[in-house]
Amino acid sequence: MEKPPAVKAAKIRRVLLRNGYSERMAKGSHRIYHKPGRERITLSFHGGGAAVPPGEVRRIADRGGKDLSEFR
Amino acid sequence: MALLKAEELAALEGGTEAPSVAAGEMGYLQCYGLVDGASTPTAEEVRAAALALGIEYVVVLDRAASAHEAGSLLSVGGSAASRPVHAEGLVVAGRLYHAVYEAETAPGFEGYYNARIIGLPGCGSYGRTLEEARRNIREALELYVDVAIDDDGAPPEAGTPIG
Repeated sequence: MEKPPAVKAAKIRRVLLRNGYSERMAKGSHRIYHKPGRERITLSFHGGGAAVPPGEVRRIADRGGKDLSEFR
Repeated sequence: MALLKAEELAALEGGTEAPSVAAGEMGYLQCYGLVDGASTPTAEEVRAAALALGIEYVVVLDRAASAHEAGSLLSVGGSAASRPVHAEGLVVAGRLYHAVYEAETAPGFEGYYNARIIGLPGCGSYGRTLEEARRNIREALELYVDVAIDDDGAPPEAGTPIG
């Protein structure tokens, strides 16, 4: 299996904010993002900036729809 | 929180509204993502599928919900049978939610688990180990529920009220 490109949480966060999501509360290493009319999305910042596993990237990309299409 | 034992789970669910599976069938529960979603599985079919995969926890809440979730989980990256899946109940804000843990299969992520909450697709997390994923999804769920209470005045309905 080909190694997937590394996606870091900070990158996903930047794209969310650029697309109109706002950062809501934080708890420990988790933050939550929301945009009017869209579903809330949690994002994990643990692992000291390490890559987010592809399965979790897919979950987030699916929730963000076209706003997160670059992560599909 | 420790993994709920079947008996504890049955006790919790005994206090909820009308599970559609008879009490006698609830000992070992239903599971998500283990059977073909085309038809509604019986509790026994789901249990057999779970045991065959070494699943340690399955919960019966609603047959229709189980068939739906079975279909949706299987659609995530192919065969659920080829990798370990674990699940447990988490009680937050007086409601029982169901966390499912799936082993990450991508190279470079050996040992990682992705975690999600049934019925709350926006809520998820992961860990470098199953134990870490369990701690993390609880934190993510607590955060998600806090925001829902803040915005909507109530915890998300994906959780079943208990007690």
